[in-house]
Amino acid sequence: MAKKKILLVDDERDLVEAVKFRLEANDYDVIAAYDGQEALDKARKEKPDLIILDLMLPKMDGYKVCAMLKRDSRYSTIPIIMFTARAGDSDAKLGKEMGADAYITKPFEPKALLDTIKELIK
Amino acid sequence: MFAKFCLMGNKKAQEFLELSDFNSSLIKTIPFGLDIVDENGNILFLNKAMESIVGRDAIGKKCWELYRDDRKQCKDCPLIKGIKVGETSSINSGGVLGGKTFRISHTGMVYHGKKSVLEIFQDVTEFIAIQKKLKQANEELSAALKVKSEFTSMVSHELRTPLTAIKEGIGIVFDGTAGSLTKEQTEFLSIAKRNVDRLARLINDILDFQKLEAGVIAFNIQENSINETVKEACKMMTGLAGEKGLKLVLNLDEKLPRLKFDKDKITQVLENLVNNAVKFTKNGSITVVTRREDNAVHVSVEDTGLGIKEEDLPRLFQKFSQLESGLERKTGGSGLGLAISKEIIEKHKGKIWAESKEGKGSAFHFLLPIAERKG
Repeated sequence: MAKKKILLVDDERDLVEAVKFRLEANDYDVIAAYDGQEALDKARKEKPDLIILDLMLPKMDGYKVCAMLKRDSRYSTIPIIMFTARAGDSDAKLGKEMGADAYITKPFEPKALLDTIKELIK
Repeated sequence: MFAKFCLMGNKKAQEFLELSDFNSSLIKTIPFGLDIVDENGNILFLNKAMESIVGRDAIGKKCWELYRDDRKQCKDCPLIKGIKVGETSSINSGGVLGGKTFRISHTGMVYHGKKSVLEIFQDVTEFIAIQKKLKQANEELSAALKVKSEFTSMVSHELRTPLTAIKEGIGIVFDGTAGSLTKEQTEFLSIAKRNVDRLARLINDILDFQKLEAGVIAFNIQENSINETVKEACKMMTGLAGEKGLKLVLNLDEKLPRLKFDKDKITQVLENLVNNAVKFTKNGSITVVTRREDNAVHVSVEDTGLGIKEEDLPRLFQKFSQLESGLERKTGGSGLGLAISKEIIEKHKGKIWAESKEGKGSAFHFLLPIAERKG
């Protein structure tokens, strides 16, 4: 069975490298994007099975990327996990309003991230 | 007067004279201007203090012509409503004697057979200026706290970013994802991992506290059952207690009224208190009690732990206070948990305090007021 593809979006390259390594060790294919525009382009081109999206991005912030993908019927079914600063904050509420399927606070427990991915990815 | 004097007995006459003496001394001594005006505002009598305020040729002149900058009757002048004998009230009058403000207290009376008003004038110009300055200072403080809070938010976000990468980097090596480790490598990575988590908690707590202090956190006050909240908070803590072989006991008064409070925030307080109790108790139990106390609900978390030294008690709820023993720091506490709990309880208009005997255990208490039902 083909490996599931995850689009990982964060402008912190160090973090992307670490998370990519972990996800690949858990048998996922990972594509990285480092800003909002690149995230949109790659999402449309690669059609990933799941997107992990940070909020603070250059060129276009995470909320906007999420909203745009969810509004487009071609991509709205792709589950989106948002990286937020702190759960229970207005960040998370706004994320849910924009259509995010889940949110993970930074710094996160690796198990929490992997479990959430498993739950959402089909 | 003379006739009256003759008609009374000696004792009554004496009393009369004394009262008369008292009255004139009173009028002479009070440090405020005093006058008596008729229904049209004409001055019938004034004391020395009033003379120095409005001048000596005041009798017969209208009080506001001498006294007000605009020479017009005060907006709330008691004469407008008509005089009620025996009735006392006060008004503030600004624009007086060169922009000053006086508080005028007045009583309706009868003077020389005419309906009149006795007035006493108090200079409150400075008092009002001080009040204004105080209000302004409070507003500035509030604004400063908000700026501080925004700064803290920004800083905490900046700190969390590299911390996340550090945690992931360590985590990947630590749990063997990048290959197996020697025992020593595991041990030292474990130290690093523990402290990364501790740093993360500290950042969260600082931000939490800052926001509470600045009042930028919106409390979601709803009617809730305190017992349900206690049960839910303790469900998560039972595991922690069990690990140390401690019993977590609930002693809840089933007949408590429903209270209004922010469920998440009070849960945070309960978790903080129970967490502390578990941390500082080696064996025995932790008991959470709820009961009604007058117009409030009293919640206490009691443990059979180490207890707290008398001299440490007053500083417990301060920011970053650490106990003499340094145990708090050793167990990875941020030193802010109790300060945060105090802010939360006080924002609910409640009270929080601790009682303890060194070596015998501690009890942390808080009160939440019961909202008065209207109608």
